[in-house]
Amino acid sequence: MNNKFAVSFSLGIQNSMEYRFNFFMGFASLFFPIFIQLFLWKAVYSHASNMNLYGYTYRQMIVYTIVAALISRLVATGLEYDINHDIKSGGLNKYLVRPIGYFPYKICVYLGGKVLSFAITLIMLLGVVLFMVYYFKAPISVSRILVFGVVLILAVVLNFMISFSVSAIAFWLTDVSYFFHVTALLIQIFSGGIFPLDIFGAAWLAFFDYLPFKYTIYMPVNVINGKLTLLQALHVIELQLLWIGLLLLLTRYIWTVAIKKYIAVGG
Amino acid sequence: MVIHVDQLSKSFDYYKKETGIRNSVKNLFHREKLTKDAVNKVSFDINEGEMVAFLGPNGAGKTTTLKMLSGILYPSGGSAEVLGYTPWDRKNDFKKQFSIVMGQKNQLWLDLPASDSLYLNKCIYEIGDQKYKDTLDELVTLMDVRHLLHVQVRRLSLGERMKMELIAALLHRPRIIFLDEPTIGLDLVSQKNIREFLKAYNHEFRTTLLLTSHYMKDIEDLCKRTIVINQGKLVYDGEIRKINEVMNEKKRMKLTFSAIVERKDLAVMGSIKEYSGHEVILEVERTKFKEYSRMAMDHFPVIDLNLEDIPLEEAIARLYEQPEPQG
Repeated sequence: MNNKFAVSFSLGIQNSMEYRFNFFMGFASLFFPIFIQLFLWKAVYSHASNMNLYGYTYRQMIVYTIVAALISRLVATGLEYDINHDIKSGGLNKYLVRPIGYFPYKICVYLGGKVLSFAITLIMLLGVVLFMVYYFKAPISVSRILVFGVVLILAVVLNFMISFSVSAIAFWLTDVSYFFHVTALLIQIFSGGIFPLDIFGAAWLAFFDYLPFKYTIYMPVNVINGKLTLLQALHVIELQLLWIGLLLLLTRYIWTVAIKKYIAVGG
Repeated sequence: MVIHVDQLSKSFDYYKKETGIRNSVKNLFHREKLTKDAVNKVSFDINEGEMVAFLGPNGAGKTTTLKMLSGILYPSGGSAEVLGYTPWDRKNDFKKQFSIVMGQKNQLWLDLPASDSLYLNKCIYEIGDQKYKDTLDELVTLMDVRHLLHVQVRRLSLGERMKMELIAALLHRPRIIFLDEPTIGLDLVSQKNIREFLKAYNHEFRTTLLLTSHYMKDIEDLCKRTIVINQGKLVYDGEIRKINEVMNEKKRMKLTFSAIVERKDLAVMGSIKEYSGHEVILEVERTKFKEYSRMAMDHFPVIDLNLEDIPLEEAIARLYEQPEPQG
């Protein structure tokens, strides 16, 4: 292994495994919000006159909640704080003076850092899928699972692109912690990470078509729970690639402008 | 000539706020924008193999200058050429020929052993396998850190970490090394180790070295040439020992008496720096000291007379107070 990006990727993997306790707590922390939501939906459905809310049966809603939580955990980057720190404390310097680009380096390290959580998330999702097949008699084909795998990887990359674009704001604003708080929450909601986007109604759903967010959580969930046909699922991959391409151009432009503003504080 | 700097300038914008809540509220709506000239028309040349120190008080513009020379910052005026490249073009060919080490920043991964970060640098700088092995071997021997290569960086002491940082910066055999306070926060022994290493390294490879430091010892030990910067302006460029000669040509005369001598009787010879009745330290003009020492011998019960230069630290401190260039 001699390529700088391959080594960055591998360091990302090694780094993520260094603190095992923290790593597992990350997954353990998933269950609390899931439980809260399960009780919430139970209450909502038990008082509803219709067994089908926003196009989801109770069972489908539960599956959505669990799968969405797992995926949002997987695609979450935390990159904004990381990049903000690099910009504010001069950590960016070490990339500017070495013959390696900040963006390719970051994405390699980040993807490397995701390998283990990716594997664990897949296993947990497989559990959910088996449960669905067994109890709900939901027909899930092997090809659908394969397509889902691709969609999931692209979702991880897409969310990296979104985070990377958003974090460039740190070049212009000195204190951005609340800004990132708000954007993270909005992106989580717009991505369908908390509840299905259908709840917003038709007008909003149409609006979300013009944003990249739903391709990170909402659409992947709908691929695995069977709401989308296989053909529609392939279409999701197309749109994910399109958004990744567009954001790539956008971040390239923003960062070229931003780096000239960079003041490398300290000293 | 490996570094050519001409009228290099950098200014930053900042805001000011007067004390008090009223002014905080005022600042929410309107802020007065101020500009600070961190580096103001600095020019100098540095030859291959030279070891040059940047000296100056905090905020003088030393680090800002280094950051521009390494391409981290864009200047707001003037030009610089390092190894024939304009640093802020950030060409990869240029990056492969220099290194910058910042005492307070680290490039090593804290949670992994240094060997991992070093290997990453090998790949980033595209160093051949054999060359990497040899260089690493040599550097860890010189620094005596072989046994620490596989320890998580977080668990190393500050001095050990600095050594690893230096190794990471030297792996690709840079022709120029910028060092921004490489010994900051280190204990005396570690400081000495780092200094000795830098000296040996410069001697062996004729690497050009530019360093900033607050420790006089670093500078006296390592660098013949010193560039003093104050408030963004270059105030002195030359041999550190000669700062004194430039500085007003003054000497210190220390007199010890067998009986108490009145303060006012001594004041005619020069300014009194210290006085205790039996002892006095006077600052006198270099041209006058012969005359004054004779006068002292004749008029006072002198039992000992000493002449010395003004201490270097003090000479430099005075240099900081001078607004216009010297030398």
